Amino acid sequence: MKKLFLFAFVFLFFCFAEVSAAHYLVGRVNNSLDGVLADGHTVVVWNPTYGISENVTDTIGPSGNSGTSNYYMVDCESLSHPCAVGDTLYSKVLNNGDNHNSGNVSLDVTGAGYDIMPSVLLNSPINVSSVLVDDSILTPLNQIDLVTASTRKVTCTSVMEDPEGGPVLNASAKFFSSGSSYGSVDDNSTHYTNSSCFVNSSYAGNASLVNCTFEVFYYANSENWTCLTSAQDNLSMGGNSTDETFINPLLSVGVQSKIDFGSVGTESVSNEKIVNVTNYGNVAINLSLYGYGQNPGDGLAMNCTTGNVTVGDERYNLTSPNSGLISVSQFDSNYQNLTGLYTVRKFNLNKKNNSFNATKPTYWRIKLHPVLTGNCTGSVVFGASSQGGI
Amino acid sequence: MKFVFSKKKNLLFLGIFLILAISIMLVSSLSNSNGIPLKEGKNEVVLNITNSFNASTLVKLNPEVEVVSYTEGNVTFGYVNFIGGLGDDFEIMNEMPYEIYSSKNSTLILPE
Repeated sequence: MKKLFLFAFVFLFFCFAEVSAAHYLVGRVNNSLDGVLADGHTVVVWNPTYGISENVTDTIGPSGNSGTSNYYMVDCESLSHPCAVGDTLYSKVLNNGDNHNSGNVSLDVTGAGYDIMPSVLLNSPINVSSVLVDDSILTPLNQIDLVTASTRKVTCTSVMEDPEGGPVLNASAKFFSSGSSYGSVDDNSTHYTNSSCFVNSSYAGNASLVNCTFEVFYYANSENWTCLTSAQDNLSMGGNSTDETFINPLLSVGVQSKIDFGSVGTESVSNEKIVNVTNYGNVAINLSLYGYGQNPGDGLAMNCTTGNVTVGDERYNLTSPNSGLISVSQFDSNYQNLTGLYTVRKFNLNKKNNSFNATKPTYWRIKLHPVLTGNCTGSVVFGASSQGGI
Repeated sequence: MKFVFSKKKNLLFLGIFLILAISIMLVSSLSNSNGIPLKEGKNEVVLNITNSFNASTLVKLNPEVEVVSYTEGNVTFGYVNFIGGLGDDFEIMNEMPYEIYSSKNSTLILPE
């Protein structure tokens, strides 16, 4: 009996096995407004009831099922849940890496031989042009001058337009040095991000003017920098463009306002005073130093109520301290004398970065003669130099 | 649940089955002769032809045919009568089953 049923089953199977069941959906995809052909892009069709992961796909154009430019053709009965009359199916063009896609279109499956999906336009990405990055000083162009111990506003402007006339969304920009890259993390020396650029959508026609500003710190690296600005359209297709500029070297140094030696007995050497020197620029510096009493070049370190201190009697050590009381001979041997004309001394103070505050101590003493009385005042001029020091 | 069949019933079942199968084959062979009637909607047809021809030829002769398709393994090949013909312009062979979707009741015209 079992053999009889088996025979009947096999017989029926071979009678009906090759009966086809197909319901075709065809659709047209027009070439994008920026001139990219729809052919070769992939269309996905799905039933939202079962999710997009259950889908059928086709390649638009001659290499796909339709064999015809700008058309696709899928059999919706080949879905895991075959389509039926009344089902609503969706389709869209996938981004194959060239930043072109489409929005969703849908139709209700009919009992006809095939159904025609609504035509779609291959969507273009945002077009970004006329990128210019600079500070407020436009001459010379493509040079940025930083501000000592502060920030400089750098603006990256661009013109953005969605060829389909849609809005410019998620406008952002990154400003990064040649030693960094687009994907690097933000770092005041090398990389800045602005994720909320200002979009002026009434700039001209469909075009928007996009301003992205960065507050660039004084210690940003002196090298070539790139601004890459980007945005997306309402189908998340992004466009971007770049401009380059150069951040000029900034030589700058800062010290505390006074070196107060306090009361110093005549014919003696003062206590050591520490003066912290900070590099407020973006390159490593040596120190240029000179002193004067009342006027530059007067040969004095200080001018006192009675008498004065010659410039050579104020001395410094730029590398190491000598604490406690010291003799005149130790004073002479352990410290370098201040001069009336600027002298560049080796100091090797690197610029600030995330882990280095760019401050270094210097050590100062003064020697007074017996005839001095009253208050003494003078000036020491600290300068930053890129020259090699002695 | 267990079914018990007597020999008599077995023979009766086999007879009914064979009559049914022969009837299906008879109807099918009748449909393969010239002037195959097509009903509106899906039609499963097996053509009795001497020379093969392309699906586009069939569609040109029968504008009411919207789709011609067949299945090979798990893959369905189709030719859609839209903007001059979309899809695979496959060869229609003798004694092969095809699905023809017609927009109205008609008689299928085959090339001479």
